[in-house]
Amino acid sequence: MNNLEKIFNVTEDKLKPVYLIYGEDSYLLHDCKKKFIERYISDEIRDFNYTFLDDEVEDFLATLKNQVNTPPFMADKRYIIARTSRYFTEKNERNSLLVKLLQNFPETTVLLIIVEGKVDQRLKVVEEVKKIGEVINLKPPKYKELDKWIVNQFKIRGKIVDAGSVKLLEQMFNNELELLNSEIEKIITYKYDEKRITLRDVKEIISKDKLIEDNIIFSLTDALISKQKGRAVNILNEMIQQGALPLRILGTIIWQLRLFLSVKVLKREGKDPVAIAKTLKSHQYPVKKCYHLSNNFTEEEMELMLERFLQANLHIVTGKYDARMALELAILED
Amino acid sequence: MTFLSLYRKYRPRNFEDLVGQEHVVRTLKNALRNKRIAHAYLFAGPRGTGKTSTAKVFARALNCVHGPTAEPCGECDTCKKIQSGQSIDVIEIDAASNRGIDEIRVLREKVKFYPSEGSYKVYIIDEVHMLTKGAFNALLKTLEEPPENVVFILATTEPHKVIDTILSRCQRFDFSLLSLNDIRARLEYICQEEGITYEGEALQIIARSSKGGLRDAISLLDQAISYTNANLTVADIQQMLGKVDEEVLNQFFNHIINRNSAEALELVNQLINRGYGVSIFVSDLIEHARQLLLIKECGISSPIFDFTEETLHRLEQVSQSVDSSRLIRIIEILTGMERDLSYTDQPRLVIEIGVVKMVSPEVDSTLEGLRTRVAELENRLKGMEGRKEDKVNRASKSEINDELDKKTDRKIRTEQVEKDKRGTKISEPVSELAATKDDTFTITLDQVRKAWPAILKEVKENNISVQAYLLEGQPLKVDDDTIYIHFPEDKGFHKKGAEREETLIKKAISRVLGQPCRLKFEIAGPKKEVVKKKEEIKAEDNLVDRVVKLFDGELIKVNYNVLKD
Repeated sequence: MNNLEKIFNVTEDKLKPVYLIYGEDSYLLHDCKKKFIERYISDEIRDFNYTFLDDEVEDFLATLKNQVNTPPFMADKRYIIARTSRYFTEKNERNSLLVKLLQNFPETTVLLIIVEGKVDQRLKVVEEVKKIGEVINLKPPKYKELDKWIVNQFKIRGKIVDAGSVKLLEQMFNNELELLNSEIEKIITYKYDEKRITLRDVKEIISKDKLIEDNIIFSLTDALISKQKGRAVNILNEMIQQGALPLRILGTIIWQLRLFLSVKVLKREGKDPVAIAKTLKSHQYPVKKCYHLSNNFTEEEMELMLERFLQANLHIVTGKYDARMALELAILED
Repeated sequence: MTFLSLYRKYRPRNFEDLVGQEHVVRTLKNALRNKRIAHAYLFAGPRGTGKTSTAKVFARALNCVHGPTAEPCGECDTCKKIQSGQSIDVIEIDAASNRGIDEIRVLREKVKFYPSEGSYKVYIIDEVHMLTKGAFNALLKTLEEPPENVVFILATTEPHKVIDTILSRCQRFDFSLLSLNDIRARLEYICQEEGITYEGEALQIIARSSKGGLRDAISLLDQAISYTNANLTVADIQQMLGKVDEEVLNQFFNHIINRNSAEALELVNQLINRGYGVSIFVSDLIEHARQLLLIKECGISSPIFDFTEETLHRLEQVSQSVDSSRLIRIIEILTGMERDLSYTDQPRLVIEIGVVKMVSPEVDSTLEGLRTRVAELENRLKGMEGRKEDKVNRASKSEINDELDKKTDRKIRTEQVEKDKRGTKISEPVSELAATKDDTFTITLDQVRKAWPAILKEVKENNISVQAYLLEGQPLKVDDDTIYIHFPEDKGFHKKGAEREETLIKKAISRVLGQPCRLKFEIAGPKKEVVKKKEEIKAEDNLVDRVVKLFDGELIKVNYNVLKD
């Protein structure tokens, strides 16, 4: 976020004429735009000295040129925010127009260009921007930064959140800030009257199919390989009750059993979890989990179990059993 | 007043009327109270769980003259207009029939205008997953930056068909299937309001056949009220649904489990004569068998059962007298019947054959048939005992191979025994062990060692990787008919590999030595020196190996056990 201080920590008269902001995460871009407006474009000047342009409009470049060259009205600066995904990202025959515009840029205009996607640094237009302004890449936070971000999101809404919840949110939504943001907003609205948000609250309201796919299904396969058939059936039914689709559950089970089997074989060959994850091109977290549980069964048992679930798939698609029945039988049969 | 079907009449008017979905309702109410209204919501969940109803209540709550409020009054003009679907600010779009890009473009044009009556413009887009790709993308732009005072509510039964970029812009709520109790409570409420007499169990049956969807349940109730003339009894409802009484199902299963085909067939006969449909009966049976199986596996305290205590105990009793594998077999037969029924014009025949199959899996119940089956069982039991004794088998797959192997072994052995000692102990199968234990096995350790390279060669011809495993081992002891092969401490992997291919190795040995034998693979005791100077010894090892091979000598240093012996 440090780069952004270049924009927000200067006074109005020190602003450079052009800022080019780009990134994959639409939430960050949006947030940046919002902050920019809040910081520099006060209500009084908004009507006359601010324009927002989207490259979807016809003759985007012509309008942009027109707007840039219009002097401010009853104010020192004129602000333009332009959002595009077509320019700056790849060669474009009309780029030369932009280059010309940047080379003769009026001092009284501040242009914020927001590009969704990756900017091609080799382009001449980008170099022109660098000459008179700043190019800033917004990256969504990761690891500890992400932790901080989540905690902070709760904090600015006046809530305290425990570490378990943060972890769960991270697992569920990774660093897709937009999703995270709306989930956090939802959680807060759900527990509006309470200051402290607990893991249980989060679990109750969080978007289910993510939760089902990633978390509950682990307890299902857990139950399966520790041979607790009853528990497995209970979990399965609970998932279906909550709206999970049996075929999807089946798909995930099969995927996980395959993972278990692969991990087991690689473990026998003496590899450690990290190396296994690398070989399988999988995330370390599930691999570690499989690694520790892999002593509960033999490779053969595993293969047979996998076969049973594949068979269940066949039964479902050929219409022998309905999906739930097929899954239950696959769990219960030996 | 014209007739209004029950489920429309009892469509929820405010949040209190909504059944289940506590967390969703609570969040939405809080959002209204505290003005934290999002621009777009996505309601996802199976049918009949209250998505559209919730959306409508929410729209009313936003636009009520007292609103936004958590309790829409239902009396003001806007509330009434929304209720009757006449409001211009609440726009319901069925995406299943307006799925093209043009419809969404029209919507985008209209979105810009301010609401005229209430304070919010609410777009309820039902079945949103039906939109085409182009339409989704057109909608995306609007969702990204919606004008003030516009709320989108997208409802869908299949959220995974909605593209990610839309999902990430909505606040998503998941509607879960309603529990049996929730549905029954709502049905009870409607019955009381409508002044209908009912048996509790009757509503339970309706609730159960609706499978968690309230709309289905209320429709069924509607149907039941007309059918029974506003007096709901268990028998009537069962008749209406064509369902067979649970008691009858239990009876039927008791007959099947006790292998009482005559009674079971008689019961089927009675049911058909009473006019029950065979296919419904079969699907009831499947469901019943499934419940029995689940009760058996999960116990009656499991939360997945929505039965009364009494029913559960009855089911448990039935399930106790049968084992799971038989139940699974019964389910297989029943589902097979269900399939056959759709092809046949003689449903009666299908169910009768099915009953016979379920009662006697082998169908053959003659004395001869039974005798052979008993004999088979005895054989299998003996086999299991023998196996316990020799403990050689570990993995189930190799069991079959072993079985075969043993048979051939036995042949060879018996031939030999016959040669040596004219027919002494051939007839008793159990004495097989004894036969090998006494002097018929004459091979000594020396012989084995001498033959070892030949054995390795033989193995190599069959499977080169097995030879690789075996190269690491050495025959160290011959005890009775068992050859002990030792592997160094750090060669556990090779030992395991060899164990897996035991049969192959055995065959090779018996081919080379002319006598069948048993094998035991062991890991040698700790090697102190080796631990110290691993690398040096590795180099030495090669040398030693070569020397051993050259002089046909033996390696003694590795194993202290031998010295002890």
